[in-house]
Amino acid sequence: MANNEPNIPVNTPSSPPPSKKSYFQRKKEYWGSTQNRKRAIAGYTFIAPAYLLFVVFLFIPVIWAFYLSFTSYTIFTPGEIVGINNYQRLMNDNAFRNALWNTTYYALMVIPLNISISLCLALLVNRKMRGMNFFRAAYYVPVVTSIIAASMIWMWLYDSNNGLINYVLIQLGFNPQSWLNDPDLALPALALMRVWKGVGWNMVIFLAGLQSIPKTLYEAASIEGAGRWMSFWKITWPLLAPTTFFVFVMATISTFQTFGEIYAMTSGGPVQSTTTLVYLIFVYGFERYEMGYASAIAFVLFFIILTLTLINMFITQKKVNYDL
Amino acid sequence: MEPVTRINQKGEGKVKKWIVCMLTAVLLVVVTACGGEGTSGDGETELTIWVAGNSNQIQETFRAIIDDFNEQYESEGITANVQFEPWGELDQKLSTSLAGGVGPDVFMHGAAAAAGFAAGNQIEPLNAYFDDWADYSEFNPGYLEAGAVDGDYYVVPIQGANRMMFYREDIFQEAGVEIPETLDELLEISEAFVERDGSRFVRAATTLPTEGNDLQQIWSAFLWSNGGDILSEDFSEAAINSEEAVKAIEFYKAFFDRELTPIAGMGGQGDQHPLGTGEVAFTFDGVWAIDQILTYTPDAYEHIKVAAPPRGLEGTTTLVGSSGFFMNANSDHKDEAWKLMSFIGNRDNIEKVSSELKFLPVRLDVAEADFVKEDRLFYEFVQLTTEVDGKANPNVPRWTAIRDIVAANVEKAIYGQLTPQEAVENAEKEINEEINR
Repeated sequence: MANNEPNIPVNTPSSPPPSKKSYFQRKKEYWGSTQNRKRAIAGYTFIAPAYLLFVVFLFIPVIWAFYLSFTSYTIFTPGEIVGINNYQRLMNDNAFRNALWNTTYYALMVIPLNISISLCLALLVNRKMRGMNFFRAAYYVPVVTSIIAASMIWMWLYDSNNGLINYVLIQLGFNPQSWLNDPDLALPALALMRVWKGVGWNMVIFLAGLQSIPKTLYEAASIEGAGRWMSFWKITWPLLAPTTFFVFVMATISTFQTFGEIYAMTSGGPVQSTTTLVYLIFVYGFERYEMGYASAIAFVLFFIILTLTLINMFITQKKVNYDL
Repeated sequence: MEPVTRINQKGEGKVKKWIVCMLTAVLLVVVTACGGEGTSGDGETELTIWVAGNSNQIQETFRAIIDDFNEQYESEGITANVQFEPWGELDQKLSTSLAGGVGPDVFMHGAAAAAGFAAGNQIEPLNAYFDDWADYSEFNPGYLEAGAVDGDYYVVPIQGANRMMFYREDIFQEAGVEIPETLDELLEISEAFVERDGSRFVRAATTLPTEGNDLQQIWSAFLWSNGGDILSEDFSEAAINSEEAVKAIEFYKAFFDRELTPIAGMGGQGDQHPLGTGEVAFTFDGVWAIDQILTYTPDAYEHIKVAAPPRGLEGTTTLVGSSGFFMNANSDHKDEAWKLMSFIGNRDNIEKVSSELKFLPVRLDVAEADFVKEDRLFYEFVQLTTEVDGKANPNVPRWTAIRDIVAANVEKAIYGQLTPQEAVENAEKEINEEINR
């Protein structure tokens, strides 16, 4: 995508020349060579530690959890295989439906706000000015702050009796609110904090995307008489598409997996208004020890995220590779 | 490419060595991770004990007791290692480590957890040990019973955790009221305590939890005082769909509806107790409030009194909670573990924890000890526990789920999402589903 040499065409034909040999023939040929084998061994040895960790701590547990989702396993009893009972129970579980809605509502609040604000910030800090690095660092600080520490600070800010936000509201003549104790406000309040916490990360990615757009395009556009707004819509936005896609996918995954701030700030309340899917998994798995059922919820969440990512990929695939 | 070629030319042996080293390292990790249990080397026994709570005072007191134990049993080669776990994380850590077979030999937990652990065969019945235990008869039978399941005893009690009503005498005097006879009257006089600055509470009548464990504990006492209950007598079905339960919810909810206390609670400032800061006139609290008030707001101590909560429809029933030490059923050193448990339960040690930590004494011979009389509030509290009817949460295996159902439905009623009648009907349905699952 990134190319600072406009004379060289960016787009190269992507389909490889048709091969005369079959896949297996080629493989056989490759592994027949001693040199190739040795290279491969060296290569696999290098990636082995990472893969081993991945397999032991991620891949096997995931497969195991999938198996558990068909059992009545509690951590004290092995449990029996119950077929799809856990999944059937999900269909009629109000707590699950409520958590699914909360998670979707939360994502709908966080993702658009997060992406638009981080893009604006990236555009703001993408210029050469004295002290710009300070601002870049400042916007990034929330990202490296521990979620629990940040949650504590926001709990003070949101405190209904002595919090800074209510103090400001009262000074401005508004009614104070019970931010984290009002079922209608608690989730939006958490979403706001999440946006604050997350924009720095996306800003940095957008910044990288912005800096890879060839300057010459803007020069050409301004010679043609395009204003800044026109340049943004016709150059920046389309060329940022792969970055936006990446940011969107990552933001979707991370907001659907929100847990830390909910655990620290609201424990899923009031009246389950901030119980998201991951928090519900925690409640069933680690408070009630219904690991089988909790695993079933985890897999539903997995398929939701997978589907969203596939849809994203499908929609954006044609548009992502913008031809110059 | 260059480094790879070099390996190909003269590094064949190196690659092999590399792989061998790697595999050895991996095996080492696997072996050490699996062999985590601290067991005997040469006739020596190492015990692990988990104590709930991690305040400095708790650590100091229990470390001293464990040091004494280690000194006394040095000749027998028994050493105990103590670990402190915050209450909030205790349940998860304990359950997962017990299930993983690496749990402590002895651990402290609420007595109400006994049924759940017993159902999973995670704790050892202590009947056989109790038979030869001279101290057995010195314990308050109620606390021993609290940790019993189907006739088997599982717990050596360490701490009583009843709840009473604490109040600020000066605020009551200022308002010109006294502790009323009934809960309904308490509601009526509560308005006199409230002070507001616009919509902000400067002082609320009380502070009441709106979710979770605390909500269930405080609300259940009102339910019992009305003569109602959560489960039927044999614990086989829900009994919560009753007029008494509806009345208890209406009473609880009225504090919020009449703006006598904020829905967000009055938590005090930092570690201070809201009674100590004068932000509330009364609370329904455990004995632990005394230490909190003494430590963080000592000036307020003289204004604070403790009393039995006013009567409900039937009388006054307060919550009796307790915690104690359990033995891991999968421990390799049960006899040694029992030595540790009975050592902690001896008179000197129970007196030590009760006096230093303001734990409600669990032994009858300690309840009358001199130190109890040294602290006015503590003494009054201990007296009240002998006078007021008490009731413990039911010891049933699915208790945590049932507790959550009760709390969640009362919470919905507080927030107006269900009427009190709908809340008890819903709770009844969900509890019965849970029992029959």
